[in-house]
Amino acid sequence: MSSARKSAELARQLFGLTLEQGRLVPERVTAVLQWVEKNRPENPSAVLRALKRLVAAEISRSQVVIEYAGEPSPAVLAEVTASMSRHYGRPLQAVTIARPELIAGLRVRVGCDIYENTVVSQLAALKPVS
Amino acid sequence: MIADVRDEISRLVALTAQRVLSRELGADEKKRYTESAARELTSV
Repeated sequence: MSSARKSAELARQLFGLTLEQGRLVPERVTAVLQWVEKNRPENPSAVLRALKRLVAAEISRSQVVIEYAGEPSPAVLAEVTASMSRHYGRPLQAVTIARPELIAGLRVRVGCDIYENTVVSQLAALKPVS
Repeated sequence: MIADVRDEISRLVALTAQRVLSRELGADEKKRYTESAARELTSV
């Protein structure tokens, strides 16, 4: 097995240790990082890079990022979060970001999926594809 | 040629609309649009 594959495999194993009932546990991530620091596996930076990618992907899977312009009420944001949690069949944590450049509307992201209804996206649809 | 002109005009219209809307839409109108977009999203 090549060194890169070994690093990726070890990162996958370590990532598995950071989960409890399918959920990322910050204390476990800390413990895994301490293990890497202490035991210095072969090519530690490659292992850490791969681990970081897996952790980042897991975090983005468990979050719903709601970008908005036009100050929606907290109840509306909570309803979007609840609706997305129902849709994906897992509890999602909301991260809200004000983006005045969207003019008005919402852009909602869960993992790689994006749902957008903003003035900017509607106008972009009118522009010719070049 | 005509297609190029049409594309350029479409681009300029969209750009102008974007500038005008970002300046002219009031906070209430933006909020209404956003909440309506949220309702649409949650009803799917």
